[in-house]
Amino acid sequence: MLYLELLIQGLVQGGIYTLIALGLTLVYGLLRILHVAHAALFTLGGYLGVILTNATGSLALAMVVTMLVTGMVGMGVYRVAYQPILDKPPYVALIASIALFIASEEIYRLIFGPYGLSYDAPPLQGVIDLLGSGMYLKQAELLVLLGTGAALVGLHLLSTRTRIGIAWRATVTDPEMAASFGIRTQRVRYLNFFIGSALAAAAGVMVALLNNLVEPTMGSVPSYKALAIIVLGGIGSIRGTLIASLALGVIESFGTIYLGSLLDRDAIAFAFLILVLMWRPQGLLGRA
Amino acid sequence: MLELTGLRCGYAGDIIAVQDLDLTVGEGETFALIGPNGAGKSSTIMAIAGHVSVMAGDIRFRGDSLLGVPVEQRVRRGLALVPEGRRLFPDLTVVENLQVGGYTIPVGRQSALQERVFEYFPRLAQRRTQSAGSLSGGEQQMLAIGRAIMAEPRLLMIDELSLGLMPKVVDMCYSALAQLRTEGLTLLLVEQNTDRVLKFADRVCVLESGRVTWAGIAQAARNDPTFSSRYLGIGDPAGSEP
Repeated sequence: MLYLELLIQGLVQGGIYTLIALGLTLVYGLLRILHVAHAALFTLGGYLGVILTNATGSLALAMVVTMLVTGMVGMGVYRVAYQPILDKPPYVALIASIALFIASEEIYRLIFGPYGLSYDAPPLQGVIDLLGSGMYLKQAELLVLLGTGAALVGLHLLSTRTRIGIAWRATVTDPEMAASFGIRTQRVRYLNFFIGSALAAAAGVMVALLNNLVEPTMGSVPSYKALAIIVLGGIGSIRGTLIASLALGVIESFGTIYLGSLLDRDAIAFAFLILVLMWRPQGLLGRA
Repeated sequence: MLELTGLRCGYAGDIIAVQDLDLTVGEGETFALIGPNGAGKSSTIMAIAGHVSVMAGDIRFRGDSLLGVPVEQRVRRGLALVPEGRRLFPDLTVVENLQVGGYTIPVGRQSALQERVFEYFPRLAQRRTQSAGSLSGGEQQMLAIGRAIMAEPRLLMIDELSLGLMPKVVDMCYSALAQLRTEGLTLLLVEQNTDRVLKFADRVCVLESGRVTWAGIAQAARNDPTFSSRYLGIGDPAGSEP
């Protein structure tokens, strides 16, 4: 029973990682930029979720508005920070991204204060008895699992069943040829940032539900963990990102129980990353 | 239909691929650009498609200049490209590649166009759901042509159609082009397979080091036994192949 509980806890954590890392993978796949500032949008999502839920009393409404607003902020980040320097070497965009991320933490501190915010009445804190087995899951944790699943199914349907989705995949492979057939690649990039940022915002709202706390620096650990995840999954691979996110969540979950006296949670995560990359430098699903 | 005047184009770092090129392709005509490697044939096609920058001169298509027209608008004006090396979307299926080809065409008309492509190339119909990357070289070339046909172009530009393909596959591709030509499609071909293209084209232009060295009717080139050795440096009895 303990194993099963640890597994589920790991999958919940892995679901959060998936939602954050997907946006990073999508941006990398399309523009070859390591979008470190992505985690700033995760934090923004957390703040907006708490503030809007407290103001309206509706988590669902807050979630939708937060995803839309953060998605648009993500498009703005692309327009302002990346688009002007796309023809420069990739490290230029990386430096811009790191600068943006550091600045964002200070901006959040100035706007929302240094001490963090909480839900007035935290929603979804009830527990569910899983199949009457005596194993309990918080409603918020169930939301993470369902939300991650919905995001993956939605992305899959979008990319295989819709015109814009097929255009998106074509643009990822060969933007020049995609443009030759009339695809407005600029729009595809905006869509990409919108979706990636909206998913990170959803993760922010969910983490706020799990911890009942948002603070300016809540994005810093996820930012480098998400980078680790996309390297681990084989950079640019969505399936690899999913596998790496879930694996990392589960390893952390078991590791804190069995190795907790030696290493803390984040140390376990990075030890795992180093071990896997020694074995497969191209990542789990990367092409050699 | 297509008019290049004083065209100079090239790449970053002042690398000039084509100098002072003048040529006109009439409506319904099949025009071939031939010449040795590095002569600037592909650069010319890529400049018309919008992928190589124009440094001087003009490109006019159906009366309007294409300079400053974004790449994604050119297909809407009736231009389609089959690039060298085909450049399919390897992870997309055959049908998805065709859908990208017909991206600017209303959805209602796409399935009819798709059926037409499958009539030209029945082998593609059998491979509908297969990824483009898993096709043979010949099938990939058929798909590249099919993808371009999906855009319902007025002018179809094909770069190195027969490169690396078996003669039988080249035959199939050319017979599809012959049929498209009877329907009024204008063709601009870049081809290393000179014998083949001289039999197929109406008019020919020979490029060397970015300049025109000969231009005229394909039949005249075909009837001139010294044409190949003089302009293409091949089949020279002295054996001075470059």
